[in-house]
Amino acid sequence: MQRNRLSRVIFIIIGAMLLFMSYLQYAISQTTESIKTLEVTKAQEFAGKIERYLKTEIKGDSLVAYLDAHPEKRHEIDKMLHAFLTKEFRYIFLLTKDKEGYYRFLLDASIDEPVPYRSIFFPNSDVYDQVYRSGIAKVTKQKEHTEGIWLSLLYPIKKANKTQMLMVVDLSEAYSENLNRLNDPLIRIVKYMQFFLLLSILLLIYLMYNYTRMQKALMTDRLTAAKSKYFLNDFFGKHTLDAYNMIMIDIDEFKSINARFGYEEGDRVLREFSKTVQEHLPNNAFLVRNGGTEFLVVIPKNTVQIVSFSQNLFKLLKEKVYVVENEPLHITVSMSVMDVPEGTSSLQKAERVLDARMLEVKNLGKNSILFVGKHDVLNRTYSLEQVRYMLDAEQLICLYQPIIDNQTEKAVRFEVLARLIDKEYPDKYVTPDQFMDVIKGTSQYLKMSKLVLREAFGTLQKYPDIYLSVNLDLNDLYNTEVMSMIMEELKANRLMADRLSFEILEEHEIKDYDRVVTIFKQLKMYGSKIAIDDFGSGYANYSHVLHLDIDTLKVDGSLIRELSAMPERTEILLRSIQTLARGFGCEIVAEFVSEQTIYERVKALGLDYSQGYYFGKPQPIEAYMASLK
Amino acid sequence: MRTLFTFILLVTSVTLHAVDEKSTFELYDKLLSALMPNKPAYRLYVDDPVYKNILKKEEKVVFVDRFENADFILFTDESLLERYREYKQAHPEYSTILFATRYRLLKNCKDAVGALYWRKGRPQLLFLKPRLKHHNIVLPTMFKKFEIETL
Repeated sequence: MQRNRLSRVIFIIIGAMLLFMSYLQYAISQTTESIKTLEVTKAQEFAGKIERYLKTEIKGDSLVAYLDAHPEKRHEIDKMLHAFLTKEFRYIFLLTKDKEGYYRFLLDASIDEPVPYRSIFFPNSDVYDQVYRSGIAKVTKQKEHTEGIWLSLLYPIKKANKTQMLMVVDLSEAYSENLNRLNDPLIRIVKYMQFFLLLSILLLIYLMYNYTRMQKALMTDRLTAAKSKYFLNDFFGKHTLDAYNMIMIDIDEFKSINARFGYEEGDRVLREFSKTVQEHLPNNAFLVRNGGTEFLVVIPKNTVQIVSFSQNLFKLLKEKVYVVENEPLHITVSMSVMDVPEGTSSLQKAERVLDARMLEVKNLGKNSILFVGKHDVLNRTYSLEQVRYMLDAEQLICLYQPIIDNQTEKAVRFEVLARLIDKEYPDKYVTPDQFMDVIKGTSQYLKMSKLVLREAFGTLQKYPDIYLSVNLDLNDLYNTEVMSMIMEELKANRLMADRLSFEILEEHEIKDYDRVVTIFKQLKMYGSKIAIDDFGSGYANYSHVLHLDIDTLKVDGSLIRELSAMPERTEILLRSIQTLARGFGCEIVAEFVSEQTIYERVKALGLDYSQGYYFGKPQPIEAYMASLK
Repeated sequence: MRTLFTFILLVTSVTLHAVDEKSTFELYDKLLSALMPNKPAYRLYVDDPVYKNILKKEEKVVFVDRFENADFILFTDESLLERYREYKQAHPEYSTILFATRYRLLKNCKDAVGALYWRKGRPQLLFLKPRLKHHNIVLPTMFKKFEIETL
């Protein structure tokens, strides 16, 4: 891709340079042409004057007959014509055609070298005849090697509607050179420019030639004749990754071959290995040497069934016998195979996944083959850098899941759920479990929380009748920066703060309840509510209810799910939570209500609210608002 | 034909200083073979060193220093014409091909068959038909255009 673009750019530059060179040439020739036109016009004016003079001096209808009869007049006119000879006009003479059609000299302005009257003249051009016939003046450019003439104006002198004489006014070559000399500095500059442009073009061509040669060398691995990494990157610059499947192959324990037989024999084995793989590949598939003993096979989809193909290849490579120093040698390989999922566009990421699988094969004792599922590619965790990039670009979306009042079966609140958008997989949102761990305790968490709070307040403002809850990790609330940011946001939106709940998630045991009490007080300062998330699991336990001012307990989804498997026992547990909540004046939300039977049990138990896929999956708020209307 | 004529005009010069030597040589090569077809060698009387220098490249050319031995005399100045006249007076039966490098020489020498000269910055080649006929010379078609009856 890059290479093509570079070639294109170089060709465009060369084209532009050639065009510019042509333009310069054209501009110069135009300038010369305009000088020429100017001089020809001047010559025509002179010729016109001479014509008028001749017609005044020569009596009668036949100019030629008069001149024949009056030699003294000829001499007089020649003298007068001589006056017209300047540095511009080298020769001025008049011709006529005799009966046989030959041109004959009549008058001549050159007194120093007079031409005998009526001596013959052979013109070197057909234009003379054309002018004589048509009676229209014309200019001819002198051929090379004529002496001292630049241009000739052929001017017909007519009388009684007939061309009787042909006046030839020769513009001096020396004068043209003088005129050109005025143009010389410009012409010289243009020539220099053209020269340097030409040099640049040659240089560019040379560079491009070298570049192409170098690239060709870079495309193939010299040892194994497999394609190079460079080729691979270039290839996927031009082709879509998800149109291909990939197999990563690593030769096991190759070092021992080198150690035992030497590098030369080792290289020979590598070459044979590469040849074997390549011979086995279907059309349009290719082998890439990643480096060392690691190879990558790239196969177009729909040419072979990737699983069976890779298994066959694995078997083939395992059974292949190499002869090294007259000894049969078997090698084993580790392979990771990927049926590249649709929408995958990052070669680097795909290779990373293959690498991870390869590592698993190695950890399992090598000499094996593992397949990469779609899940491996799509449900991966993101690095801090990747999350930073997404947050900087504000690739964050908030989805809303309704919390239903079990009595009215109406949505009374929505939980705000943050998702990131990976541009490579725009259809699949990145969930907190894929990035939260890496951003906790970093400025990115602060950034994300801020974005979520702003979005929540924006939604509250837009829909004045709804209530929202957002998730917060208690650990992060210990961070003064996070707390300050939340308080600033609450203060700025204090009129809506009472419609907002904070769902607090606690992953560690709370050792300093006083501190948490203070934090909760601050959060509730503008009327916001506090809910304990995942109550009944981990550290979210009864002591919280004892020490903290809590408004809602959100019962952990894992407990609710058990209502299907162990309804009686789970109900006992839930009843005890309910009793506790009632005692402390807390409301209860059952999470993960995914089906009707669970909902009915929750409702029967008298839990206040339900949340789960049974009532709605996380969606943009507009989707719920539209259905509420 | 026109190309050849142009070629001739381009390469010919009376004074020769402005003429490409190679082209002049080629032109005279053609002229000589046209005027003296089937001759195994051209015995030339030329006393102008410039022309001698050019024509010596022609393999068939043999320079002679006596009129009686010449097949072709190239007049380049009046003195040579004068010497010719004297010789002709002494040997009225003498006849060979004469060619001039100036219009005036052609006009002054009744025996010259043609001339190649410079006029108004333009080369001029011409042959006189009666004189060609006198020598039984029939020019190739390419030169017919330059044949005239009288000056």
